[in-house]
Amino acid sequence: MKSVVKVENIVTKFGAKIVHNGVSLEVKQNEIYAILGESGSGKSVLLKEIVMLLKPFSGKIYIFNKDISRLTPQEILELKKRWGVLFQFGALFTSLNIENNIALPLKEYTKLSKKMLSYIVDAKLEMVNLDKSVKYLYPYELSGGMIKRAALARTLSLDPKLLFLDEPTSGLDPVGARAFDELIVNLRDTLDLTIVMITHDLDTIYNIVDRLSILADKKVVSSGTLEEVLKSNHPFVKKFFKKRE
Amino acid sequence: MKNISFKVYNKSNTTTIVFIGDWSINNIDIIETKLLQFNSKTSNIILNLENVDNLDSSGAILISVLKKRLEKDNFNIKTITQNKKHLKLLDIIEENISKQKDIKVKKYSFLYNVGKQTFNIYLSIIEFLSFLGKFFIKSLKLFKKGDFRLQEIIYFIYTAGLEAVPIIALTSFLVGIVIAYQTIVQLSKFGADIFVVDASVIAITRELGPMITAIVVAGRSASSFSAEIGAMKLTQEIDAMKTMGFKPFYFLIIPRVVALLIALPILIFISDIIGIFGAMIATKMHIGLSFNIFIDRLYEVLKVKHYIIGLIKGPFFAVIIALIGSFHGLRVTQNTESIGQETTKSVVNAIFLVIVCDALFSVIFTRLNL
Repeated sequence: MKSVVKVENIVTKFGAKIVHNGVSLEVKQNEIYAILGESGSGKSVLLKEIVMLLKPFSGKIYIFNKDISRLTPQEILELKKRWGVLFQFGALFTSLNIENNIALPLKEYTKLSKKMLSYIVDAKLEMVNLDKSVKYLYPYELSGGMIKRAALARTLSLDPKLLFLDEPTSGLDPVGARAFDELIVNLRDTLDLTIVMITHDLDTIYNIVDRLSILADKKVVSSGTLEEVLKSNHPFVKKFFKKRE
Repeated sequence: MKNISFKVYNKSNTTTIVFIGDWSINNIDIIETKLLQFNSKTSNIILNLENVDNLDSSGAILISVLKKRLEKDNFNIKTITQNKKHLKLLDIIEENISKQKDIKVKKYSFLYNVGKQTFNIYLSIIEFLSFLGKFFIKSLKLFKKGDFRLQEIIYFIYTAGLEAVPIIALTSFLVGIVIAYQTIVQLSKFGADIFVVDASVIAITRELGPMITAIVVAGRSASSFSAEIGAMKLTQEIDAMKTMGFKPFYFLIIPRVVALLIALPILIFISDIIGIFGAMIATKMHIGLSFNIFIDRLYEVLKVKHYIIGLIKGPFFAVIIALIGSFHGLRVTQNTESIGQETTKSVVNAIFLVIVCDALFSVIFTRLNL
């Protein structure tokens, strides 16, 4: 299996505060990979570093086998078209309706006709199980679950091969959360995606995650498949999975 | 990199379209028009995807759109490919596309929109009047209870009042110079130079001082009040307050109004002094009238009533500015754009209403022979 995301010895500091002290992990093609950790353990910071919103103090991050700190602006743009990032609260553009939110990347990066754009927008909405009638609504008119789905549709608009999801099921009711899990697996299977997600949701971890890493004490304390992680003796791992056993 | 194409082969009663290359979002815009113009002369069509290296959902959508159209025209269509993933993706997308129905968006006529906008303006006026009423009732209750939030009031006196002093001083000074110059030029034609004192000091204390102050404060504070309250609404802080039993009116609006009620008359006073000082300097520079003579003349002509009339307008302007600012802040809806719109409206409306109010005062005072 090819490696899609590889993080090597990341050190992150905010002033004197050390967030990561040598974090490493590797995500393979077609995997659903989860990053877990207590709040404040730097999961979101790690994700931000991977998607180039923050720069680590030291360490290397490879995406599609390229060191992201050594890319030219052109290569960075190409890379950004190949990944999609779903933010925790959707981050839909509030001034655009859902149709334009989804079509925006397509309008910016392709010269497709209006007709084709609307076909693609409809197809993406269908993929995330949203009704077409939401097309003309604005983000503030949608519920939390619908916002996540619409944001996912926007994330999928450029057919990325790599998806980053920040707490995809947080704020959803249990039924909605499971449906979202199912959606993610379906998308992975049909579109050949690699998915990296931050999650706290035990059900997601048990049901759909292939491999995971646990961040604690500024490091990855355990990683691998769920069985492998469950063997770990680290107190946080024990505490986190205790309820299930 | 841009390798995408399709070829059409005709064989007796069958047409074969061979898709070649990378059918992904990066490429399909090149081929879209050409592919969708395709028309067959035979009734059987084979879509051959054997030579497609890469197919993503957008590519599949394009192919499905073509297929859907051809199916509608009663062609027999067969898709062949060895790649099971491609086949599965196509199946999913086809099913997906077949579910699509066009939703009709209602389009309204020009007249409808004009009517709607007019009605909206009417509604917002009604809304503002009810806000005004609410404000008076709440402040009456407040005076009974005496529950002023002193700390907030002082904070707003500082940000909306004290911090505005430099810019108000500068503007008043410049306007003082301008008004004195303009009158000197006209009056010296009649040799009535000394009357420049009458003209400029009365104009400044009665009209210009209060107006400049109100306009500067409206620009600075109406906008900041709207943006502050609007952002609080957006982040649900106001909802949080309500659930905790705090009344946003007492917490957010009354302190702002009271602060401006106190600050604006003081600012007008400062503006008067500096405006007159500007006029003194301009007069001295242009006709060499000494400061002493200017002030002597000022004692003769500037009756206290002129100064008081200017000052009386202060509280009225203060209420207008603070209420308009807060009102538009509360009208912010759940999107970031509306903060900008409401802020703009609050400044424009505040300045406009200040001028309307000033005009009313002018009429009233003239009728009363003041």
